[in-house]
Amino acid sequence: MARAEFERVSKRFGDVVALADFTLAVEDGELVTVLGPSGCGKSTLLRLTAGLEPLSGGTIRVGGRSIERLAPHERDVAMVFQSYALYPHMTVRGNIEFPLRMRGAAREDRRRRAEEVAALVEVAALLDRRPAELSGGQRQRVALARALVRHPALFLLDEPLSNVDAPLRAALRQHVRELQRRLEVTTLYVTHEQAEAMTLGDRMVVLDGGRIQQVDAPGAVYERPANTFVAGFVGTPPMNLFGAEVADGALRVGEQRLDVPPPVRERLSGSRRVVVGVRPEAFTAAREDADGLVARPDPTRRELLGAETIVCARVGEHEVTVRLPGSVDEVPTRVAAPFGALHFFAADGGARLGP
Amino acid sequence: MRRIALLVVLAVAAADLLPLGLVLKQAFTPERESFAWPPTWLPRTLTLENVRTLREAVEIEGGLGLSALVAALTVAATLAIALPAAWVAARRPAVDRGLDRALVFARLFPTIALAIPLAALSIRVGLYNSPLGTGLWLAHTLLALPVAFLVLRGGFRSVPAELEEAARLDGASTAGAFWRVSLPLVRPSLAAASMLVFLVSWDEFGFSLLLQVTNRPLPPLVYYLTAFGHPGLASAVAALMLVPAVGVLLVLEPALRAGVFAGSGR
Repeated sequence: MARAEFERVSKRFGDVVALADFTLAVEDGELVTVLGPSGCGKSTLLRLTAGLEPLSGGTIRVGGRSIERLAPHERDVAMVFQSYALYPHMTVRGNIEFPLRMRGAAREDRRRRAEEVAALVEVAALLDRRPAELSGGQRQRVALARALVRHPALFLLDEPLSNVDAPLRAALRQHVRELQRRLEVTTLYVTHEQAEAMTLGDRMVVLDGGRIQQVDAPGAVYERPANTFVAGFVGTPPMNLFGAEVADGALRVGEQRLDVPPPVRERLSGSRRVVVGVRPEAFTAAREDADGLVARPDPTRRELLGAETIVCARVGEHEVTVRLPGSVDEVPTRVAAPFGALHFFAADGGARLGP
Repeated sequence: MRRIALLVVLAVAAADLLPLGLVLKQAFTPERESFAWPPTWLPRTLTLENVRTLREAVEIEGGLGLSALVAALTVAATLAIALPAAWVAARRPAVDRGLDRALVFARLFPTIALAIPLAALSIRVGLYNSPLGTGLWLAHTLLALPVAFLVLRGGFRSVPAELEEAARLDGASTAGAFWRVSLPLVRPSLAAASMLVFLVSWDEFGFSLLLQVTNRPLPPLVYYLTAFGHPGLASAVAALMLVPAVGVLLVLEPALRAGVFAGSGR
């Protein structure tokens, strides 16, 4: 159990920057999820931390000790691979005991600890089987057990649930969360599934192009995305983003002219053009005289999902997605989002304007 | 369609087995009968006369021992070099390209073109006609290396690199990951490579003929016996050579079939 600190960690493969200036402190016992599209550098981050690739720059400290020059087995870091990487020629017991055997643990001690952790991940009945005889979910649990059996200071998970069937995934997600809480092990969990990143993480890191886009509690990332990338990446369906003009204390979107309230006016001062963001769920059916940003739904483009209805609508020349609660049989002619629900980003670079 | 396939199989089997049958027949019939005209397909008299002559007059034990020793040493030396080379090649594409090219280049020369300068060289360094076949097993090792390398590289390529990475994180050194994880997983390839290398050496003729003169391994012995008009004796030696070849096949075959890769991943 330890605090893990990353300081300006970077990795280049030739001319390609896989990770740039990654700085983050993971608190003792905290679970931080790393979310990003494929190729964003999230797997590279884990491989650098595990010692499978050398760093191009920066420092990684675990429990105050710099580990970036140590061999993988000297780092006290355990990892669960996306493919599980179970040793096919060993039994489940052999797999779980392997890290202990490599550290010279006594036979009795190995047995006891392997059985303990096997019980914890509910594979105690499978100890004498080989990986080939296990289901995907069982293999995943054995991989967890093998990583946890030696009580690592830092626990790395590389998309551990991506090979598990969808119905099982939610259950395993809960299981991983409970396990991590119980063992209070500092954890870095990499995924490209936002549901996983949001539900599992104490905090989440959004990564794109090898650079951190935002680090915050999942709720805060959703509420206040740091830039247009995060806004478009976190949330399903994604946040609507479109350009607008600011002039004379008013926001012009197509034909609409919205008065900008004074506190917001300050945030937008100095920008002529901004990017406006509005979540699909911020819209509600509106009367003719409603305030806020008005959109006109296209009744022919409606997706009924039972608990909610997704509707396509237009704001000026921009197309937006609207999410209405329940099964909407009759699509309203107007929907509106209050001004307070709008997000503003710089037209140049996409950084969030204001809090 | 199926009938045609059956015919093809039978034709191939016949082409393979007919000479083998003739060799076995000649080995266990009197030499006179080998020269009989018209030739007989089935033996009229069965005898161990040829085998007896081999033991008494030809002192077959020497040749057998030499061939076995050279083959065993060739297997050991070849695997000792090919195993690490194939492993590194399977993990590092840059090394792989270099080795690949070197091996293809080495295979461009016919054996006989290499055998003569190699014989000259072995005379100079004192390995010519060595009683323990030292020069010969070095030559056979060179000959067998590409075969072993290609088979083992294929084996290592099918072991996911992640397994070794997991082992290193679990506390193994790089060498430890190789011994405890990768090596057990390439057992089938190792068995195949051992078998092929053994047969390369056991059956090799050109180097055996030119590097050894009086201490003769079995293949040149077959040649000399035939050349001096003893087809029965030559066939008896050939039949003897079949025994370990078949034995190796039977011993290693189960390892070749074992599917040890299942279950490492998803």
